Order: sequence, then C-alpha cells, then structure tokens
Amino acid sequence: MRPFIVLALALAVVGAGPAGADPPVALTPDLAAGEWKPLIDALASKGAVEASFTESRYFPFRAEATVLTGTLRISPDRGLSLGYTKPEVSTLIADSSGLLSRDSEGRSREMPSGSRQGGAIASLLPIMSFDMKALFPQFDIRAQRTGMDWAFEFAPRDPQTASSLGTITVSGTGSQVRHLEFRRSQRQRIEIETQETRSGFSFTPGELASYFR
Amino acid sequence: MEPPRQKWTARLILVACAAAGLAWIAGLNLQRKVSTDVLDLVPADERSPELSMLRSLAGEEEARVLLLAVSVPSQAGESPSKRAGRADKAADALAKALAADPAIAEATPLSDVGPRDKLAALVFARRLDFLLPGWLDDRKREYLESGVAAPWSPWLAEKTASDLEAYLAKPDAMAAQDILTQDPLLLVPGLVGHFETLADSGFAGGRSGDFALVWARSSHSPLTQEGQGPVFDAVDRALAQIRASEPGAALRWTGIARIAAASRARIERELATLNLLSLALVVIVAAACVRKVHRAVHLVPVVLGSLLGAWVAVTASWARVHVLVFVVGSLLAGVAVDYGFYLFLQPLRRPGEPYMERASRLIKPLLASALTTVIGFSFLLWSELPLIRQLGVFVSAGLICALGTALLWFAQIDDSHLETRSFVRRRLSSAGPGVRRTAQLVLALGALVAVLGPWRLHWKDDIRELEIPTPELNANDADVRSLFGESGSRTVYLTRGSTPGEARAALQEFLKWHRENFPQSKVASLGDALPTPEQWDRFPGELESLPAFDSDFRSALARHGFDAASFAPFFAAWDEERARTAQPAYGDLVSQLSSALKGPMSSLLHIGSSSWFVTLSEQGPGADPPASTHTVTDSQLQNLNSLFSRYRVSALKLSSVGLGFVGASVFVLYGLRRGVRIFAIPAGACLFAFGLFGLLGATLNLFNLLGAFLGVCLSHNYAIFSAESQGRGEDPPPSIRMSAVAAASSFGVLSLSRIPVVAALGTTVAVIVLSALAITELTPLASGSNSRHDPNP
Repeated sequence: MRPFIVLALALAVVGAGPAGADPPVALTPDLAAGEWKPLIDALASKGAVEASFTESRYFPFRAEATVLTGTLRISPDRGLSLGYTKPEVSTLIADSSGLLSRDSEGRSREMPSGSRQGGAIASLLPIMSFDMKALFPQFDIRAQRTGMDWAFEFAPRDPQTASSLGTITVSGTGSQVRHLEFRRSQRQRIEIETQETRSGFSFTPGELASYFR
Repeated sequence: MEPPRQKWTARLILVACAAAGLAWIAGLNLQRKVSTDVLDLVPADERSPELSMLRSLAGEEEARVLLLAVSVPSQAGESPSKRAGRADKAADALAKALAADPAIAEATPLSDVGPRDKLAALVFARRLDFLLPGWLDDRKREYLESGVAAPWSPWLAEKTASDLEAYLAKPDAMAAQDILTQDPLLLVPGLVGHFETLADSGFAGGRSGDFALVWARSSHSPLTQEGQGPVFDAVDRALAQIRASEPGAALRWTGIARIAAASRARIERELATLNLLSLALVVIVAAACVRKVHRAVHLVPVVLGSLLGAWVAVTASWARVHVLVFVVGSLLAGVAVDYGFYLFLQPLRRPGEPYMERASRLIKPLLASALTTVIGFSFLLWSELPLIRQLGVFVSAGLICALGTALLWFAQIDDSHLETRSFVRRRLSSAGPGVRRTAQLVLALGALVAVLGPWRLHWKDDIRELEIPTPELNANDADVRSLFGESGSRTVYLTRGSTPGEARAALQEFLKWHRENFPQSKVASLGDALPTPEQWDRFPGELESLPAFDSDFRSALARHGFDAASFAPFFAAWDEERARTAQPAYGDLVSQLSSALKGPMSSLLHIGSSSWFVTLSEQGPGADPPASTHTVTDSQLQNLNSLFSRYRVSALKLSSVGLGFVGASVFVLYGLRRGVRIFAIPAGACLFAFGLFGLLGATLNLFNLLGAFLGVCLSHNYAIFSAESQGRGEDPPPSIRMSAVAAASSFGVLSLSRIPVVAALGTTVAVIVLSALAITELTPLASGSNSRHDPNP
C-alpha cells in the first residue's frame, strides 16, 4: 500500500470521529469563561481525588504495552501522587517542588522543578486542577464534548516540554476523569485509565505524609 | 667589686651574641618562616595513606573550594517560584562576578547543568569502554554463582532481555526510553541508579530551601596569604555587585581559607599574649620573693637571652617552623629563669666573696641539671614529627643560652647576690610527730594515686586540637555544607592509589568490603564509571568469548516482546567494539573521564602524585575500612588519630630513652644511691600526675606525653639542687621553691591556651612541677631529718 493512501485513510478515519461528537474547538479564555465554564468549574472544584488506575506504557521498540497498576491521588494543595502496586511498589509525586520518586524501601530520588524533566512534570499540575488561568500561557488547548463525555487536549507551547511530555489528553464523563494520555507518537505514549474514583473528601495527615511530600 | 676585665669580657660576649641573634631574627621573612599549617607538623615524607591524602587535599584544588549560598528577601504578594527565580538570578550574577576576579579560578552556579551534561554525554558516547567491562564482570559472576547448565552467551542474552523488560516498568524508563535502543544492556541507566546517592548530595540541584547555590574555587591555596585576603575581598565585591540589583540579597559562604585565616590570627594573638603573660608572671614571682624588688630586673636578661637563642637555633635549623613551637616555647621563660635564681640567690660564704668563686661552687649542679635536660631533649631530634624535633632544639638551645646568659650577666654586675624574703626560706619544723605523720600520709596517698591512676588513662590524638577552635565559623561551615547536601547521616570515603589504576583496583576491594559490612547501604562513586585495570585488560578476551551474543540477544529480545530491529544502533556499536584491533590505554580512559569533570564534580576523582576516588555511602559513621582497601573515611582524615597514635608511641620510646640517659647521667655524677633518690622525685611526680589525670577520667594525647617529659626534666633539676644541699647538710635552697613556682606559673599560663594541645602540655608540666616541689618539701618532713643550717642567711 502506498504511503499517501495510508495517510488518506487515516485522515478519513480521524476526521469521521465518533458518531454524534461535536468537533473539537480551540479553547480560548473567552470560551473557557463562557460555555465551557460549568464543566471546567465542576472539574476544578473536585478537591481531593483518589482512583485506582491502570497505566499502559507504549515504547517504539516493543509491540506490547508495559502495564502497571496502582492508585492515583490528587491533592489540590500537595499535587499528584501515583502509587504503583504492580509490577513493583513505588510512588511518583509531582508537585510544585518538582518530581519525587520513592521506591519500596523508602529511598527517594528527586528532580527539582528547576530541572528540565522536573519542570516539564510540574507543568502537569495545573492540568490536574484545571487551573485554566495557569494553563493558557503554557498550552494550546483543544476541547471536545459529546453528551456527558468530554476531552481536553493540551499541547505545550514550550518546545522542550513538548518534546519531553508530548501532547496530553484528559478525557472523562460528567465530572469524572477517566483517561489520561501522554503522547509523543502513536508508538510512544502513556495511557492512564482510572477506575474506581473517590472525590470530594480530604486526605488524612497520615495519607498526606505517605503519598505526598 | 668584680675585676673590670671579667666584667668587660662578659659584657662584650653578651653584646656580641645579642647583636648577632637580633640581626639574624631581623633578617628573617617571618611570613615564610613561620607556618600555621597543621600539615607542617608532620613529616613531608610521611607515607601513611590518610596523611598523604590529606596533604594532597590541602594542597590541591579540593582545598580551594568555596561554597556560597545566596538568598533574596521575599516581596509582598510574590510567589515562591518567582522568589526562587530571583535567587537563581542573583546566584548567576554572583558566580559571574567571582569568576571575573583573579583571586577566583572558577565559579559556577549549581543550577548550571552544563558540566553534568558534558560528563553524561561523554559517558554515554564511551559507554562500551567505560561501563561494559565492569558489566560483563558482574554478569559473569552472577552466571557462575547461578550454577545453571546453559552456555554463557545465551544465558547472558536471556538475562539482559529480561532485565530490560523489567526496567520498562520503573519510573526512570520513560525518561530513558530514547537511549534504550542504543543501550539495551542498561549500562547508563545502571550508572545513573548508582549515582542516586550523589544526586541527593547537592550535585543535582541548584537550590536548597530559599538559597541558590554557587560553587567556586580560589586561585591559590587557602593556607597562603594570597588564598585568603584577596578571596575575601573578591567575595565582598561580588556581593556588593549583586546587591546593586538585589539590595536585600544575603550570602552565607564557607571555605578552608576562612577558618585558616581566623585560626592564624588567633594563634598570632595567642603567641603574643602567652609570651608576655609568662614573662610577666615570672618577674612577679621573682619580685614577690626577693627583698629588693627592683633588682629582680636582673632576671629578665636571662629569660630574653634564652628566648633569643632558642629562636635563632630553631629558625636556623629549619626552613619552616610551626608557630606552635613558639607558642609552646613561651614556657622557656619559666624554665630559663631557674639558672638566674640559682646564681643570683646563691648565698655568700663570706662578705665580698668574688663571683667566680661562688659560680664555681654552683657549676657542677648547674651543668648537671642543664646538660641532663639538654641530653634528654636532644633525643627528641630523632622523632619522626618535625614539631617534636623543633621543640627539642628550641628547648635545648634555650636552656644552654639561659645558662650562658646567666653566667655572663651576673659576671658583669658588681653585686650579683640577691637575698630572698624570709617567707621563701621558712620551713615547717619536722620535730612534731603530727607533722611527720601528715607528711607521710600525704606522700602515701600520692604514691597510691601514682600506682593506681595511670591504669585508668585513655589516649586519643586529634589533629584538630592543634588549632584554636573557631566555633562560630565551624557552625557556619556545617550549615552551609548542609545546604549543599552534606549530612552526618552519610559517610564519605576516599580510596587512594599511587596511580588511577591502583586507586580503582583498591576501590573495587573497598566496595566489596562495604557490601559485606553494610549490605543495606547504597554507595555512589565515580569509580563506577570506570572499569578496573584488570577488567580492562580482560575486556578484549571477554568480547571474543561472545561470538554468538548478537544472534542470541536478538532471539531473546523477540521472546520478550521487543522489536529486535529497533536495537540496530546497539548491535552496530557492539560489532564495532568487537572488531577493534587496538584497545586504548587505561590511562587514556581515565584522563578522558577526568577532563570532563568540572565544578563540584571535579572533587569526585583526583589524579596527581597520588590518585583517589570519593565514595559516598548512605550509612552514618561505622566501622573504618581495613588498611588493605587503601580507603579512609573523612572523619579519619579529620583527626588522624591512628597516625598520631604511631607518633605518640614513637615519642614515648624516645622520651623513655632520653629519660634513661638523664637517669644514667645522674647515677654517673652522684653515684647509685644518691642517683636513685634524685631520680625518684621527678619519676614520682610524673607518675602522680598521670595517676591524677587517670582518676579524673582525662583523655591524654601526644602533648601530655611531651609535657611529662619536660616536667620530669625540670623537676629533675630541683632534685639535683635538693640533693646538693642535702649533701652539704642544708635545707633545700629557696631557689627551688622560686623555680618551681615560676615554672608552674609559666606553664599555668599555657594551660589557659585555647589551643587544646598547648593547654594539655601546660597543665601536665604544671602538675608535675608542683608535685615534685611537694615531694621535695615533704620528704625531709616525713623522714624527720633536720638540717644543720639555713642555706640563705
């Protein structure tokens, strides 16, 4: 099959989209403050979130995804925590100080927010809290809604962050986030599916100490 | 009236000697001659690993490191990240200003990742040379330990593919995915994993709390004038420069130069204070004990002549003399004055008795006491420690000059006799049984202390006690270093070799020892980025033994779900490495790695007259590594206890030989029976002093030992004069009391010194001298013997 036919077919498939879906729109501050405001407010005011998740890592040199499972936690004050339970126990914390990785023996490794990798990860925090004021300067945002389902696509404006993280897609239903995707290419991406989700509560001091820094 | 010829001859000799001595001292460059570097206290050719390393550390670039932390005040409504950004900017400006100053060789903000990137790029580009030999060695060991029947190459391929699959689930995998097709053996990710300990030690971040961090290196050694004042000025100027744009910017910084400069200033002040105080006390003691106070001034030339002679002798004998010699040398005032006392207070046998006649009566005990002490101290010339040798010459020359000055000075004055006050001559009557029993009881108690106490002594030497502590600077140093990630919960090891290859081989031994002794603690060393020479030599053969690895690994990758074709960059590099006909020399490998180390990373590997690797371990203080690993901890380097323990044993041997000669000379001069009685006084006083220290739980060091030797020699003089008097049927002369009190005062001043070892020496001598005086006084009372007449009417 010649490449241009493949490309044409692919464009046709992508362009068709799911039946009944609104076309994606480039989200502007005006739109965010207008028709998208109720959804954004609902997502932003969720407070603490805890959800089990399955992470699929796709590498360009491997056909199958590497699958990890664990519990995702978001604290509006303390950032994002990914507590992996399989295949091995570890915790990844992204907050305003940067990125912290903690292994099963409690050893920590830090990437300060001043560093390149840490800075890129730290830029995720406004996405987790749907802080549009902080997001607009950093990302080109596209949004799409189909009934109760919605999706936001964040493309970093900074080329370095873009090459490090790729495009970030957050999608869900109602006020629940169901899917996160970090895509550098079709063969190089991370997909995080959330399952049982709990929100609108507060973490205990013990949980904050265990899962955040 | 003394003969004019005698007087003028004595004056001429005194003036000539004083002029020559003063001319010599005036011609000296004291800045160069007098050292405050503690490393000048130990031999230049000392071969102990820790000292060689410390000497190199002090002399090389590592000692020139300055650590600086900048903070800016917060502004109303400012976010923490914005404030951090201003601090970073200030740190950049500070580093630029410092780097532009000739006193600073290099300055870099730690937020600058350039040096780290350069090192990472080199290690990645040369990963098969730097890392593959060690990786193959480790896998081979695992293969042999596993005892599996599978051949080596397929086992290795399967293990590598399996490890790679497991790695993809680790947090680091996403960041490393771009290099995995070139490095499926995980050579570089494995090294990064080892370096995690380093990453938490200030090498990874440019900030700590509110502070932005700057690393700098001075152009000159911190132990020289050029490495101190100009550096302080450079820092002041750089701070003023950043305050132009950040008025509230605050700076905390540390470096060896700051502590060395403060220490030097304090020691110089101490030197002046102790010498003056010592001289003043001796004059006060003399003035209080003689009838015509103003005539006590005749004792001053004796002390000055002694000090001048000692200075000339020691500066003429060594190119560099440590300042501690002069500080400790201030004690000479209390010792030298003895000869003045003995000559000046010597009673006249008849009115108008000529000086020469009186002096001839005293010359035997004077020479006996002076020469035996000089002989004793001369044995210190065989010491390994320059400080002890210098002290030996200082004291010996000082005593000879004191005796010479005293003999000449009193030969050129008309009235060379001074009468003591009556309280100095007053003695308790030994007639009463109560007095006798009390004296016996005190002596018995003293003997008990002398017998039991020394067994409770503890010995420990710490090179840091040779300097005046600067608590505020040390606290600042600890604070700033903690901002840079240094903490007490980690241990720093230095592994040494005469070549980088030797050091790397020793590091391998050390890492093995560490794994066995601290299995739970992670270690990080730049040595991980280099093969050992042995691994490097075996490397071509190891590659040859894996002809089928290429195909084995492709199959294993496919079995684990990988697209083997994606790993083409690795297979190309593997084939190239195997096809290489000429292997680079090991030294080239090391030089290449070393040349990529800039900024703070340059302290991780040293190549010079000796080479070493730094290793950081997660565990706190623990067992010291064995000597066979050629590794020491930084705390071992800081106190050099084991090295000084060796010197202490050496000094003990020499002191013992010296005392043996002192004792033997007494037996020759006074016969066995009187010799034993004479020698029993200093020996008893010394044992009593050590017993007292032991019972008080004191920890003694090399300088207590030296003090004891000096104390024994001094109290030996009292024993000789006491025996002389006893031989003539007289009470001990009052000059003994005055000498002992003057010496105790002089050494008591030293015990006030803020340099711990000087205080230790002063206290030891003072206790021994006073104990000897007490024994001299109590023995006649305890034995109930009565003198026939007063020696000083």
